[in-house]
Amino acid sequence: MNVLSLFIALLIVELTFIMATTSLFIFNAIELPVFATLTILGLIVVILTFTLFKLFKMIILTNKILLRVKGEKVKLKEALRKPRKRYIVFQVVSEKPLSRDEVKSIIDELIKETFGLIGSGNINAKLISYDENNMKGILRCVHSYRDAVLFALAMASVKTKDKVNIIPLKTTGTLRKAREIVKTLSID
Amino acid sequence: MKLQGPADFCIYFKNVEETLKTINHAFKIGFNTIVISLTFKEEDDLKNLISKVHEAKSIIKKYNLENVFLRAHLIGSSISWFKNCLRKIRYSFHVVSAKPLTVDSLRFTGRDRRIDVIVYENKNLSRFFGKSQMRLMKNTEKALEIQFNSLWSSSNYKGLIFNLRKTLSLAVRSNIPIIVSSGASSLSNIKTPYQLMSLLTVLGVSYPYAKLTVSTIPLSVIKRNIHRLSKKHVETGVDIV
Repeated sequence: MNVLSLFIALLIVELTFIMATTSLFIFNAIELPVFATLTILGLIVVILTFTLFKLFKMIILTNKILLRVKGEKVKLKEALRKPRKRYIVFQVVSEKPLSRDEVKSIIDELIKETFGLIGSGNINAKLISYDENNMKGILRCVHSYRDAVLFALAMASVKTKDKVNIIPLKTTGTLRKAREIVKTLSID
Repeated sequence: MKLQGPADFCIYFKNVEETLKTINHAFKIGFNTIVISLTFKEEDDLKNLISKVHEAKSIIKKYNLENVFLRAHLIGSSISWFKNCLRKIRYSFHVVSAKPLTVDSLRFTGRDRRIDVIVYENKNLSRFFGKSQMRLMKNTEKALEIQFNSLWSSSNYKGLIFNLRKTLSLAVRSNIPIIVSSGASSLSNIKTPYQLMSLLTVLGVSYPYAKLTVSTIPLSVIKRNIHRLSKKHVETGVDIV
């Protein structure tokens, strides 16, 4: 039941009580001291009810604020938590072998061009390692932006007019596993 | 071998060597089913095309390639050409797709039951993939195909992303099956299944639905057509048991 409606119901009962005592006094059913005592009692009860109502309202408001603060804290905690990482093992397919710097610049450019300054900042992609001999490398990114990175890598052939194609081989959660995959997995 | 996903619904046939290399590469990067696409244009000579078809069929037979299917990709603007072409080639291919160049042909391809898939047109017709087109496609159980490589042929990506997102949302809302394929013709532009899925997830389609577009939906189209081409099939809903 709502606190306000409870308060209104109580107030109606009390006012009815006061009105009843007044009408009894008018028709001389009760004496003046009895009427005065009953009226004062009634008024005290009304004041008490009002105070209690205010108190209840304050408690409810405080609880609500506390809950909201708690929610905000949880959100803030999630935002400030160290983001999980994903390691994408990829292989470059191109006519001539590419150096580490070339691959790094291609990937950075692709991500920046596809998702902009803010997007690339959120993705936080970094080329961890790149082997120039077998043209395989490991790219690190934030776990929630894995699809965005895959899409950006897919755009490599479009941007370089089919000269360079970057094929993601596997996505892992640890660098150790990614290094193992670089050694074992190949599409040649 | 059992049909299983993921499937690359479109790898263009260039020549025997290149196509064979691309097919092998596609199998290595994670695809289990591949559809080789032969392009038919209005100005092309039908005799040359038939020789191409024989070459493609010979690859499949010679190298005993399992889970590799043939598809005819029709690009044209005239309805009569579409009708003529469909009459001649429908039964030699597992899948028939169309890329219409005019609004009339787009509506025709939406109506005709011999065509299985309509390829999303980026340039002029993108705004005609509206509600009425979706209704037509739904009535004839057609799928909407998005080819990754041919999407980026024009330089205006801004309009492309806007129109593509609109079309995708319309298709999802009206229960039109969507297929994402690479549209690759060589090793340098082939994409992995996860890369194809990422196109949809980046545009706001949910991950489970994106997964269907590279596995379940293309396989269902292929299975339906295998059944249609089999001797058991008489007519839609009529089969020899």
